[in-house]
Amino acid sequence: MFSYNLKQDEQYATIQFHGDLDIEVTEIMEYEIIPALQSFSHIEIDFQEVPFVDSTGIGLLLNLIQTLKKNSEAVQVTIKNIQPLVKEVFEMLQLEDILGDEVISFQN
Amino acid sequence: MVRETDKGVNKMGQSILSRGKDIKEAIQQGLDILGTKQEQVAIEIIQQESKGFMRLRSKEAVVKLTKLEEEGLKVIEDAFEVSLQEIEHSISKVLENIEQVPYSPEVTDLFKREQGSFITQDKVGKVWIKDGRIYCEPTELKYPTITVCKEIKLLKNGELVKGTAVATKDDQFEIETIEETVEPSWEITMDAQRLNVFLHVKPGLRKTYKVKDVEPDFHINIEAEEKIEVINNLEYKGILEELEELRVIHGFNHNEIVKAVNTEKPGQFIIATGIAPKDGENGRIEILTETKNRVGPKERADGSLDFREVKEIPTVQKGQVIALVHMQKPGLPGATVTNEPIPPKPTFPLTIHTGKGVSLIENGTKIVATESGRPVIEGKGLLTKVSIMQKLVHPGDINFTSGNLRFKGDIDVLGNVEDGMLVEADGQISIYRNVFSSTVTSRETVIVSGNSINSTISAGQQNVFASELIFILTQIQEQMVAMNASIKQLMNLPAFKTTDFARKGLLSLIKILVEKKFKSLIISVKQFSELTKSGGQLLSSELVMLEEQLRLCFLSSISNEYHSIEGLSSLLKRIEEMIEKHDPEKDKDCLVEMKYAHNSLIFSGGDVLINGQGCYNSKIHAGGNLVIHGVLRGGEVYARLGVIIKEAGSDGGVVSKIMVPSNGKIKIGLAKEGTVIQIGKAKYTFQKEQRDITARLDENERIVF
Repeated sequence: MFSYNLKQDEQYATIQFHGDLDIEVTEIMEYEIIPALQSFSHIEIDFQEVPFVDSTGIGLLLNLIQTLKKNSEAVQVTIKNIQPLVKEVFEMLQLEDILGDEVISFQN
Repeated sequence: MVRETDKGVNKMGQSILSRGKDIKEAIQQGLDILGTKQEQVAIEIIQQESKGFMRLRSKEAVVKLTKLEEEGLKVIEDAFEVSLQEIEHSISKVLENIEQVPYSPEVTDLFKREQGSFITQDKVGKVWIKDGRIYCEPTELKYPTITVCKEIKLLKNGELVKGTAVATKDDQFEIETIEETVEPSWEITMDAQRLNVFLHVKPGLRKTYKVKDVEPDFHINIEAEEKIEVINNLEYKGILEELEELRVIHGFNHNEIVKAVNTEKPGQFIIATGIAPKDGENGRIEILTETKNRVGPKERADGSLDFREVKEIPTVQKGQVIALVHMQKPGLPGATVTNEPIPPKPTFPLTIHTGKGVSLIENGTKIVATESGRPVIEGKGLLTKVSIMQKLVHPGDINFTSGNLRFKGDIDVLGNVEDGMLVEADGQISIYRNVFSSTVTSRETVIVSGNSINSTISAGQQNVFASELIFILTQIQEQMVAMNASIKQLMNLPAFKTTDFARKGLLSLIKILVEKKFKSLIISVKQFSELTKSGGQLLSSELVMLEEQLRLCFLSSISNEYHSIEGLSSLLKRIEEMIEKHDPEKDKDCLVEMKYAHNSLIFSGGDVLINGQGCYNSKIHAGGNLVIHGVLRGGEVYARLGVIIKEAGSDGGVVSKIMVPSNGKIKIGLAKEGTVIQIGKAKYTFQKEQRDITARLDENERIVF
């Protein structure tokens, strides 16, 4: 099952995802995660514990980041610690181009 | 020859070889060189002089003198005594010979000429080469020198000489020549059909060098003569054995084998040839009547042109033979060099589809018209359709009295087509006068003898919109093929779960893919959708349906039947079918022809020909070429293959636009200021009048004239 862990420090927030980012996460994403992250200006999403994704999960992730950025251009979101196999999926879908390389970068 | 054969003697003291006419002279010569007396040397006779006949084969006397040291004195004495006896013997012989041969000036001349080198005095201090060996005659003050060339190895006392060597009495010279050998080789190969057997021969080479003789001189260059010997070890028998091993039993070319055996140059010889099969002929049709319209004015017998006979429409009468059908002819089989049969290419009969108004007779060898009309023959591969297009002749004008005219065959209207009327035919439409504010649509050809005012004229299976839509569809097809491949690749990635496909299908995935990776697909689908809407009723229901399916697949936000692998592939298949169906090549024989067009919309799957005054404020789309013999004033014209216009543009500044695709050409006799041409995406506007223009794109996609 999917769970998350939110650490906050004034304007800075780090959210750790645990488990597969898939269609099952839809409700948690919409009703919990998006509202919880709305108030921060710097957000870090930790993918260390995400072994699998599906297309709906990626759709949710795109929606999350686009929603957070919609409020203010100044909001900075970054995704870190992506597992190599998950990274393969992200590369295939050209997420770097969709989100911009300041959010997600496959170079390092 | 200065050659020290006994090393032991060498230790004893200096030793030399000396020559002379006779032994006596040789010894004296040697004593002079050594600067000593006869008692202080050991003499060894190496060669007795001999006179030969007329002194021609005479040999000089050679003696070896060894300076005696104290300890070796006794040993040498024996040899000395023997030598003395020999000397006495020789001297007596010489005397005998001198007595026998009468002295004459002639003999002396001969002797001098032939035996020039015989005179010892000429050789003193010199070196020479005879029969591959080095001889020399050094003096104390003058030692001869030898220079070697690269083809020869000169060993002086067992050491290799490089460049120039000095020859002294004690030196031992040996000459070695270099020898190069390239081994011969040959190989037999066969081509894939086993029709030809090739023998590849590469003869070998043996390159040897022979030392040239050199006359005595103080310095000599050793030169070598190159000798190349070709080695071809091929044998007729060997080739035949190899062929037998390859099971070649048929079609030997004995002449070539002999040539190969005797060749001195590398080469390829075809040493056996099979028999190639002779291909037959497929069934075919021979057309006995002219089926294509001859367009253009008819030539009178005197060579002038009759403009009243602009077109000639072929017709056949009932019972007339339209065409002959020729049966297929089978080919003749051939044989390989291993004597296996090679079948000829299979031949196929022609399949005839008889349409309306024709029938096949005499076992299907003749096609006969059962109705009068225009024969239509369409062929694709081995399938030929033959039918008779019936003709409807309308004697007067088309107006409210006559009503609209629709017919499956050809239509001839002998009068005008008047306001708001419609003429539609599957075959050719000929209007003998003018078209006013009306629509004329043919699936083949429209010929208006007069003018088209405020009208829409269309010829071909499709129309302006359809051809544009098909163009967009080919782009959609390309993108979809790539996207389907991406989806399949993604599903193979280990970290990618497909659990949501069961509930939501591919919708989420497609949304992400078209977000960036296949962004242009969405743009194309939107274009397609908009164009379909503006095309309206002119479009076939199939195209309209396809638009809906594309919209549902790529623009819908609700999951539907197209969001699955199967759904995508079946959609792709329909797109491919549609493209195939609207192949522009099918319409290439279509034609729209008129004298003058004003405010009209003209479409032709093939060519458009305006042969009169010109074209004013009209829009033309031609799938083939557009030719305007007169003026193009205002409006927009497009032709897929090319445009030829006598005069374009206007003084009044109305914009006239001429377009062709990137591989098209535009020719204008006179382009006035403000005329716009567009080739592919490149545009050019004429700023001033220009004559005789031919415009096309260069490799950098720029317009060049």
